[in-house]
Amino acid sequence: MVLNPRILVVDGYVEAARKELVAGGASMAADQYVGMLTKLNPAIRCDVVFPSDPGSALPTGTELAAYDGVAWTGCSLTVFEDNPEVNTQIEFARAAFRAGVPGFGSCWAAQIAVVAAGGICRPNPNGREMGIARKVALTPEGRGHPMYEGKAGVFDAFISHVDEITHLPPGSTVLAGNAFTRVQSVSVAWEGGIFWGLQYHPEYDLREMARLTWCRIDKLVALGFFQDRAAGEDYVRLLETLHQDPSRRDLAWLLGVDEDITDEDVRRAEVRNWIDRLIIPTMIARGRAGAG
Amino acid sequence: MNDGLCLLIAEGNPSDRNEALKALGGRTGSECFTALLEELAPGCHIEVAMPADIDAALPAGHELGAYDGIMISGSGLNIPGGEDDPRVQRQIEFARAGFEAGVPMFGSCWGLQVAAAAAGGLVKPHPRGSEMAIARKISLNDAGRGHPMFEGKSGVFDQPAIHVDEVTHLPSGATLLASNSFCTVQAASIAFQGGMFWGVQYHPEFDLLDMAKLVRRYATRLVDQGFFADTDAAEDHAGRLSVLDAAPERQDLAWLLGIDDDILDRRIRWREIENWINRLVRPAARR
Repeated sequence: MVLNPRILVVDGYVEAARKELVAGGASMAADQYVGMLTKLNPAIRCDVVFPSDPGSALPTGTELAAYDGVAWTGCSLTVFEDNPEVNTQIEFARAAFRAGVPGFGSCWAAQIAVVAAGGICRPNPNGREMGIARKVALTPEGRGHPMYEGKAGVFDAFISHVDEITHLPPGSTVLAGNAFTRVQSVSVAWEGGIFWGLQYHPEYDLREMARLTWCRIDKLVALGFFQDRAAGEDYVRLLETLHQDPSRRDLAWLLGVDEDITDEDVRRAEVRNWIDRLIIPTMIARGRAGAG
Repeated sequence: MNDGLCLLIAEGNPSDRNEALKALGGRTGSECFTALLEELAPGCHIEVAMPADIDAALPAGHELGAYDGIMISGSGLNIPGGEDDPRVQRQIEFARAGFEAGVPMFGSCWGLQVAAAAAGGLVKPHPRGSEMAIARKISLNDAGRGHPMFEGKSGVFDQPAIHVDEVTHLPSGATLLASNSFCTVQAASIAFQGGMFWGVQYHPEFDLLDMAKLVRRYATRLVDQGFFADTDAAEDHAGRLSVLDAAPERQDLAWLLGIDDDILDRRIRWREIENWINRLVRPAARR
């Protein structure tokens, strides 16, 4: 049995936002996702689309159904703003649900899936959750959910968001939450399709978090995360030092981070489970084993 | 509510060990307990016993019944290896007498370990060494979620902590209530010989300034254990904790260190002790 999952990676960033991140030393969201998926399962073949680019074509019909999964990156757009970039992606999420192609994604992606299925997102009254989402706890449904097989019942995760899921559509289940954000992960079932979405970012590592922080330092100073630019640069350096030298337990301890953040296998359990527990069984059910 | 509670605090450290902490302006365990009792049970009568001072007088077993509650503080002593140390054995005997007198007891850190040992449990050095400054992601189990000590507490929380030993085997009359990935027995209730003890491995009585002083006191040891690259880094950290203690509005520091209201809001931090007073001590005192 040949199993070469074909995954469509959807990077919703507009081109200017992608360029800003890359200029700041961060990797493009699509590249992070492709790297993560193919590292978890080298048999995976990825195509990438940028739906916010003018003239970009999203697959429809049999072309969409030929994918075994759609993986969505985060994005700096706002899901409840009515504009063409956002609306195109909501419509594409609906098409993927209806095609029965399993979905997965981080942050913006979880919000897109919820809104596509009839739910609501709003600005989080607690403001921006940045850096590390602390004490994310599985709900009883989360503890029994295949996405969390092998994951601890409470964990920390990389995060950067200002909006949150406030209303779930029927057919959705909250799998995890913390004190800052009630919906940290969700399973959405709609029109025959399934989407597993995380408000946090398993695709980030300490280096990506450092570069994203660097790109946002002035904004973060204004929000009170840093007293001044120098404090922000110190923090970026701290993350990068720990990334380069994971044996610096003193730095991990100072920041209050453990294997949830520093161990890629722990951090990416949800993505691994999506591949093993949803993509591959769905391929077999759809008769797509051997189609590679 | 001034209902005339009479509480006995057993200081876990011998007097000589407290001198070094006092020299740094630090508070002893019994002083931390006394300060929070004045807020949680205003007007209560507090006595302090020094069971680790081997020449200090202790209330005899039949006298313990005069108290409405007994609290056992933290200590730098160790139960493992303390089989022949009278400072250790005297405290285990004292806890046993407390159980037999049926007086509600509470203990943090050493207090939990002493009560567990008194009731037949085992305490060993933690195989991974020290849990230092903050015990993170402590989760209530099913028993903990339904236990009166955790009424009003979140299901997952952080708390100040500093320990090298842990309870490895709870006695048969004990119930495990909370754990984290570092230490299984973070909280337990222990029923033994008609008495009841509620205890935690962490230190709800410590504030950030207490933690800063512990970092300064143990700086060299903490460098050796890898918590700091050097003593300057330890001093920097103690400085950050002191600043945050004096200025809780410094959200940048709280965010950097991963500290939230579990630690910063003393009424959240003290909830277990508040519940012990209201749900165990007061109901028993009224009988």
